[in-house]
Formats: sequence, structure tokens, C-alpha cells
Amino acid sequence: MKDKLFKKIITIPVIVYALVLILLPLIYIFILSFLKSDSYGGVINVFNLGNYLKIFDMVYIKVFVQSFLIALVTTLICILIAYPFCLFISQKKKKTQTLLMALVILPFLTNSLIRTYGWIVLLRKEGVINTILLNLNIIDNPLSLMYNNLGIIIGMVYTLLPFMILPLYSSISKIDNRLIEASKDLGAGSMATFFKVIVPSTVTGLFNGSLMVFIPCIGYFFIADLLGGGKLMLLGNLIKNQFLTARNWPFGAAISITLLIITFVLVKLYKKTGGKMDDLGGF
Amino acid sequence: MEKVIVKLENIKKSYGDKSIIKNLNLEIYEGEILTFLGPSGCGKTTILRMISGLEDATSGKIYLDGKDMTGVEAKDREINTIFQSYALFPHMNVYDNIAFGLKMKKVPKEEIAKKVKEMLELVKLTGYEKRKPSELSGGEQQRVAIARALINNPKVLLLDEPLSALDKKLKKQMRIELKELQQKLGITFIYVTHDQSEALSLSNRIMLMHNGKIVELTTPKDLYEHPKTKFAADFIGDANIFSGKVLNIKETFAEVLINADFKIIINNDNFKENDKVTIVIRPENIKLVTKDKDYNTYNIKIKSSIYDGAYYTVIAKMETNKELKILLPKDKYELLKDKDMLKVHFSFEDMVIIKGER
Repeated sequence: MKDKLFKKIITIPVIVYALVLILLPLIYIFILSFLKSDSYGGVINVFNLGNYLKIFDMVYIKVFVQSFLIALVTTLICILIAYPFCLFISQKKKKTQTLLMALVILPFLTNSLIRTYGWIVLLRKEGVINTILLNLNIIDNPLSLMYNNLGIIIGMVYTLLPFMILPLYSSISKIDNRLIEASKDLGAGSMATFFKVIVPSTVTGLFNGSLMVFIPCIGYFFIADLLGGGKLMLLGNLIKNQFLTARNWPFGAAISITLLIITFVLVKLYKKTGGKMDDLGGF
Repeated sequence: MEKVIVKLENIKKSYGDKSIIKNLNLEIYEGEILTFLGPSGCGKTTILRMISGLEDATSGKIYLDGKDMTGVEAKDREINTIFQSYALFPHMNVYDNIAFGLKMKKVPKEEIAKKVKEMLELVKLTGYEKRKPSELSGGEQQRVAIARALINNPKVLLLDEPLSALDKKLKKQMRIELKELQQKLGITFIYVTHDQSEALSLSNRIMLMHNGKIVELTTPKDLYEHPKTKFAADFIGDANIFSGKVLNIKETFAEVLINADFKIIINNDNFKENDKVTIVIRPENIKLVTKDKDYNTYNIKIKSSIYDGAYYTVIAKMETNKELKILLPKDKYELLKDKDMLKVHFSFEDMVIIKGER
């Protein structure tokens, strides 16, 4: 009895936090998305669906498509890097595994904005990578590694890769090694074992990681701003601009709500594949 | 002479400095059930894994049907394994699990379907094609594992403690089914277990192991009735084991001193005084007598008994304070249980004599 009461009391701050800082703003954004903006950046209390209809304008649809393409490519590259990486470390000793995973998590301890600035030093025309390649005479002219889509994707992959590695690693380290041995015993080579046994056994981690990469990727406006040179408009940039530059809050709110709905659909799909919500909030 | 299907030549295996298998030589005959028996950690599973190719020997060679298997991967060996907890692929249904090996060999679809059907009939699981392993009972999973291995028509089937996850009743039933299956198909079975009764009931030959070495390699009957080592006598079945020294020799007999006033007379087999001897008597071979015999008659008192349906295992105390295990039929025990003092007799033919201290 006492135990239950104690549990209730210690959860109060969390509930208050969620209500005040997450739910209330969300309700505000939701209401806002049905209102009108005046020409000075204020809000007129008139109910209308205009903001949502505006999203179907070709200009904005293009932003949605671009964002999803960048997010998709980022997710795929993260999968391609994370699988071999996770398979590699899962075969190491327990101690080595912990150390390597700590290295994956370590960058989280610094601000991602600062890390993105770090990439500018590496990627720009006079940056570290170009200087080295030029001095080694591997290239004659500096490569355009940033202020384009490549820069955005490099930045996104770098920032979001740990979100792919963590759930995938957790899935892969749970595979019963005997399944892999059984597969070899039954005549499967490494490739067949990977696609027929390892991938199907880690599908939860794969979806989980993909979701954790795909969704933030749509919203990380500062990476598109800093490494994309502002040439490519992503959904995150669009929302930020509506609130801060164009000062059309209701339209910004409508895009945010649309993005939220898309996210919900993706999570629903994830659950349908057998994913558990616990795994999403697992770290 | 029977044909040798698997041959192990000077096999050694160590992990770091730890030596697991110490120079093992073994010939396995085609069509037999050979059991590797021993306590956990004796290296029996390691040998199995080396034969399957899942692990490499540190040195030595393994031959399958005359061909050197060094450098041949597990996937390319005509050997299949039934793993301890079956290791069925959880995301595949029964059909896909069984078909896996043939799919890897790129066998045409119709042929796979036909073979899977045959296999399901063989293991009595027709109609289970669409089920997932998680929907099967332990015994059914076991059968799928058997079908999945046998469909590849291996030259040798390796079984790594295949019955350890089953309950006692199912264990006995599967034992019979496995043996029948083996007789029907004639495939060589190499069977790993730490359960001596499983080994005795299933095998054509048992290789008893301890600390990475072969202790004895012989038939179940020989191993049980004529163990040549103390370890074998102790590990296989119940036994009363007495160790002592030859006290004196009288023509064809030798008198063995176990402790202060406990002596056992045995047949003289070129003994010398002070030779170390171990005497083994199975509980079922101890005879109750009413009158003293010429030799080896001892007084005992019943201390406790364990009822086992048809039999009682009686723990008795000898006058010399040694304990004695005796197996008695139910009716006999009930006649005798209230008697204060009983006499037992160890006859020459019921004692197994092990020379030395092994």
C-alpha cells in the first residue's frame, strides 16, 4: 500500500513536466493550426482549414518529398554502416563490446550543434579533408563536400548513426549463436546466413533504429542550415522559418501537426511489425 | 570388419593454455550409435563440434569417409547436427525450417516439397507445416530438428544432448523413437550426453570421457558389467565401491583389506602383497543369505530405504561402519524389513575387480 503511494508521489514531477511542457504546448499548436495569421505576424482567432490546404501547394509538397528522400537515404546509409559494425562488435569479448559501445555513445556528451560546426572544419573547401587529399596529390581540385546534399547527408548520418547502432546492437547481441551455427551446419554460407537468419531475427532492431533515424532526420534543421548551406529546404527548416522568419505561426503549426501525424503512422507501422514501444524509449 | 566413417587422428584442442582434448584417437563405424558420455566439462561437446566443423582442432586430423576434413567448413561437410535446444529458426514455420538445407543446396522446389512431406511423415508431424516453432511443444520441436537435419541425408548425424530439455516421460519415448529411426535409416549417430541411462539404452558403443581423455570405449553391457576403471564403475549406474590392499595370498584366493576389520576374499589374479585393488559390486548383485557361506559373509542392518515401484533401494550399515547399497524386489524387502540383523554375501562372480587405483 505504502509502496504504491510512494510510486505515485515520485511520478508526480514527471507527470507535471509532461503536462506543462509537452501536452499543453501541443494543444496550443493544434489549436493554432486552425487559426489565421495577420500580415504583422499576429494571430487572428478565426477557425479555418486554410493552413492545411496550403501544405498541398507544390512548393511545400516538394519540401516534404525532399525531406523524406534525405531521411530515407540517411536511414539506408545508417543501416549499411550499422549492420557490419554491430556484427563485428557482437563477436568481441564482453569487455571490448562495452568499450566500443561506450565510444559510440560518447559523442552524445557534447552538443550536436557544436559537433556539426566541427564537420565544417573537416568538410569545407580549405578544410582538413580537402587539404590532405590535395597535398597527397590524390585530387587536383578541392571536392565539394558541403553546402550541398552530400554535406547534409554526411552530417545527418554522423549525428544519427548511434540511434541506429544502439537498437540494432541490442537485437544482434540477443541472437542465439546456435541459430547461426545451425544455419552453417545446414549448408548456408555467410551471406545466406546473414539474409536468412540474422536479418529476420533482428528485424525489430532494424525497424526501431530506422524510426529513430528517420524521424529526427526530418526535423534536424540546423544540419541542413550549416552543412547544406541553406540551399535545400527541409521540413525542419520550413517549420523554423514559419515561426521565426515568416512569422506565420498558424501555418508553421499546421506543418508541425502534419509531421506529427506522419510520425504516428510510422510508429503504428513499427508496432505492426511486432516492435515494442519499450524498445523505442529504451535509452 | 565394419567400415570406418569418421576417424579422429591425434586430435588436440586447447583454449589459450587450457587443454580441453588431449591427443584423442577414435574410429567411428558406419551405422553405429556411438555415445560420448562424461561429466560436464569433459570435452565431449568440443569433439562433436570439431567433427561438425563448427570448431577447429588445435592439431590433429579428422577424416569423414576417408577424406581429410581439415579446412572444410561446416556448411560443406556431409554432417548435420541436432543442437541441445534444437536451434530452430524462430521466424520460419516448420516447412521452411525443414526445407532450409535443401534450399541452400538450390534443390528444385517440387523436390523440396516432396522431401519435406516425407520427412514430416517420418517424424509423425504431417499437417504441422505452417506452424511456428513457438507454437510447438518440446517434443514436437525436437522432431522438427530431427527432420531438418535428416532431410540433408547426412553421412553422420551429431546429437548434442538432444533430450536434455524434455521431461522424463517424453525423454524415454524419444529415446525409443531415436533408436528406431536410426535402425530404419542406418545413419551413423554420434550422441553426446551426460545421462548414463540414456547412454546405456541407446548406444552400440559408449566412449566414456573424463578431463579430455577417453576412459573406456566399449559396449554398454561391458561398461556396466565389467568396468575397467573406478571412474567407469562409479559413473555408470549405482555401485558399491571398496578400495583396499592385498593383505595375503592363499593359492587361488587373495584377501583384500578394506579397513581394520573388513576383508574381502577375491580370486587371485597374479596379485602380489600390498597391490592396490578396487572391488565393485552392483546393488542388484548383493545376495541376502540365511547362513554363513565359506567366504565374504557380512552382517548388516537396514538403515533406510527408497521405494521405486518394483524395487527398493536399501541403504544398509555393515558392522565395519561401511554403507552398502542393495537393490531388493518389493516382496523380498517387505519380508525382511523388520529383521534386526541380515546377512549378505559377495560371490566371486558378482564382484568386479579393478587392479590399481584408477
